[in-house]
Amino acid sequence: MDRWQAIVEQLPLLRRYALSLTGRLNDADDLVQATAEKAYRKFSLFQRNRNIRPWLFGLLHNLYIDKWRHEQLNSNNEFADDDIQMCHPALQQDLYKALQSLPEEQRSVILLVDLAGFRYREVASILHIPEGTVMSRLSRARASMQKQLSSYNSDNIRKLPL
Amino acid sequence: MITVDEDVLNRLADDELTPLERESILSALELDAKIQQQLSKIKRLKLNISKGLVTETLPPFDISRLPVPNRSHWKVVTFAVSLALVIGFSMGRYWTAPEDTLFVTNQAVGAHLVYAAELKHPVEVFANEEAHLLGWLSKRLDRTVIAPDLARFSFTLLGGRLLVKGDKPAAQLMYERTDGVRVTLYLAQGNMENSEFRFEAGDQASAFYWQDDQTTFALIGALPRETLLNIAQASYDQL
Repeated sequence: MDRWQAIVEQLPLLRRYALSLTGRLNDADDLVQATAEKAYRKFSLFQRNRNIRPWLFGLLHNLYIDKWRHEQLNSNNEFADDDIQMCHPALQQDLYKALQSLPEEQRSVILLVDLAGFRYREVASILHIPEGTVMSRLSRARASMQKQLSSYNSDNIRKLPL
Repeated sequence: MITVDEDVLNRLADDELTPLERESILSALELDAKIQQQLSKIKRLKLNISKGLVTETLPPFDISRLPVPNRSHWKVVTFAVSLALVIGFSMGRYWTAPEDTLFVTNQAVGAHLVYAAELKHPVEVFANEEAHLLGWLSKRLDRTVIAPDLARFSFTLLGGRLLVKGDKPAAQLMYERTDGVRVTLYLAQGNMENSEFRFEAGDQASAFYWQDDQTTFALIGALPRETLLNIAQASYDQL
């Protein structure tokens, strides 16, 4: 497949992940752009028999660690409320806020598993951590999210399949 | 027998257990309502994150930012168009469909997921005021809106609501089966090129959609393709 197309097809999911990770639309789009550029430059290093998704998410994550997280720590660490409100109706804002409250290392794990749909071993390779660490971070992230969302999981939402 | 702790439940929800582990935990699960409850909480959280954190309402990604490699002009244009399509809709599964179609299925399925989940307010007007409901929707959509009879599929009309499609009104009729499963019929003024039945599989609900005169219809539900098609055809025949 054409290398650009292979990258481009993954951009929407990368963007969703980046937005949930950074909480800022500008940061998310910068991150996605930088990831696409890097992926294009490094495409020759990518082994054809590998799955492109974990590779792209790994690139994005490295960029995030190198640059965005550093900058974010130096400025304020709050999610941009305007961006969240623009993107999400009320119910989903609770979800964003709960995610925001997680430590970044837990946030990336739960997003990679639940939003991007990666296997534990893929998350381990994307984040360069052991699979056991993926599991423990995921456990902590979910427990903390559930605690915060308990009011959101109200009886007004049916549990039947839609 | 393995110990059912939080890690194991997470792995079960994420489909990360070996078949042997899975079998062992499932028998433990049957006996313990509290563990079942915890498992469904995890699953609900997963679902909320996967379906809740969407970017469809965002301003589109500015494609001019991307480093378009050396290509002939037409290729750049093709690339830009496909990128716009892909970016606009998450996961890129609407890749080749025409834009109006994308809009319709996206809206119709979205409205289904949002409203079919409601316990107290699934519809704006309930079926006990069916005549009023249909009169109102007909007026707003400027066409006769009929609620097809889906009794032979064991679905009864629950009610309906007015929706928004761009700056135009659209409508949703909701049906419920005795076991609680719901399907919705979506109608909007529209002009899709093609009138034939088309199927769009989704993670949580699938849709059949078609065009009839100046109206676009979609039937949405978490049902097997065949069942949905039969209901869609019955609706089409009556509409």
